[in-house]
Amino acid sequence: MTDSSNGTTWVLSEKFEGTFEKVRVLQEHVRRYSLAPDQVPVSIEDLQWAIEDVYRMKISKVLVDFDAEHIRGMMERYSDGRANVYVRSNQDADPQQNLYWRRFISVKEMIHIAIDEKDDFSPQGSETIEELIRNHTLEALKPAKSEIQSEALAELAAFELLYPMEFRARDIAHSLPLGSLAAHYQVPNYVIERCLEPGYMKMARATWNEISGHGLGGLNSNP
Amino acid sequence: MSTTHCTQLANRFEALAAEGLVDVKFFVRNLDEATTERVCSEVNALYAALDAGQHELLDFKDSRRA
Repeated sequence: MTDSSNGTTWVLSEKFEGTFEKVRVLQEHVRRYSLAPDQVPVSIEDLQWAIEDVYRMKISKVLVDFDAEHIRGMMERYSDGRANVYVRSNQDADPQQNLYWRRFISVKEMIHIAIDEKDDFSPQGSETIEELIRNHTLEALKPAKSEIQSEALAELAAFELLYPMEFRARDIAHSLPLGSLAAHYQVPNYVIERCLEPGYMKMARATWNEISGHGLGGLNSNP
Repeated sequence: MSTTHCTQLANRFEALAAEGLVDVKFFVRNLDEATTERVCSEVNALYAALDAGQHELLDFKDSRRA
C-alpha cells in the first residue's frame, strides 16, 4: 500500500486502547450536542468543537497553497492553548478525493490534541522529521519510537472517527464497492481500504470490545 | 543535523518555541521514498507560503450542532 505512512508500525496495546477510549469520549461528546448524531459523513467542524471543548484548546485549520510530494499537513500546539492545523491545498487531482483528503488530514492532525501526552511533545520539528524517516519501518519485536507511535495512533483515531466501526461491520456484510463507500463517508479510498482490512478490523473490534465502546466481538470473531 | 533545509527549519522551530510552541506533528506520505532534507524543504515551503499569504481558513461548513 504505497500511501501508508505507518501501516506496519508496532504500537503498545495500552496506548492503542487509550486512543480508542479518547475516540469514544469525543464521539459521545458530539452525539450529545448534535442535531443528527448518527448521520454521515461525520462533521469535521463538530469534531473540532468537541476536541476544543474537551481539551480546552482553540484550533485554527488553515489551507495552505504550496507544492509538496510528502507533506500532507502538520500541527502546531502552543502553551497558551492555541493549535494550528495546516493542510496542503492540493492533495489529489480528483476534486472529490481532494476534499476527502482535506477532511482526513484535518482530523488526523487535530486528533493529536487529544491523544498525545506531554511525553510525546517536542517543539523540535526537524528532529521529529528525522526520527520519522529513520525509524518508520518495523524493527524486530521493538515497539516504535514515540514519534512513530503518535503518528500511527493519530491515523487510527482518524479512521475510527470518520468511518466508525458500527458502519464498517454493516458495510462488510453488504459488500459495497470501495468508491461508493468513499463518497458516502467522504474519506479517501485509502481510508476505506485500510479500515476494512481483516487484520485491522479484528484488532479494532477487539479493542472496542475491550473498552466496552462499540465493540462487536473479540479477536476470534470474523472481521 | 548539518544540512541546509533542516537547519533552516530548526531555526524556525527554535523561534516558534520562544513564542510558546510546545509540540509539532507532521503528516508525511510515502515515508519509504522520503529523505529528511526533502521533507524539511517541503515544511519550509509550507511556512514560506504562510508568510506570503498563500493560505485561507479551512471551514467545512458541516456542523450539525444545536
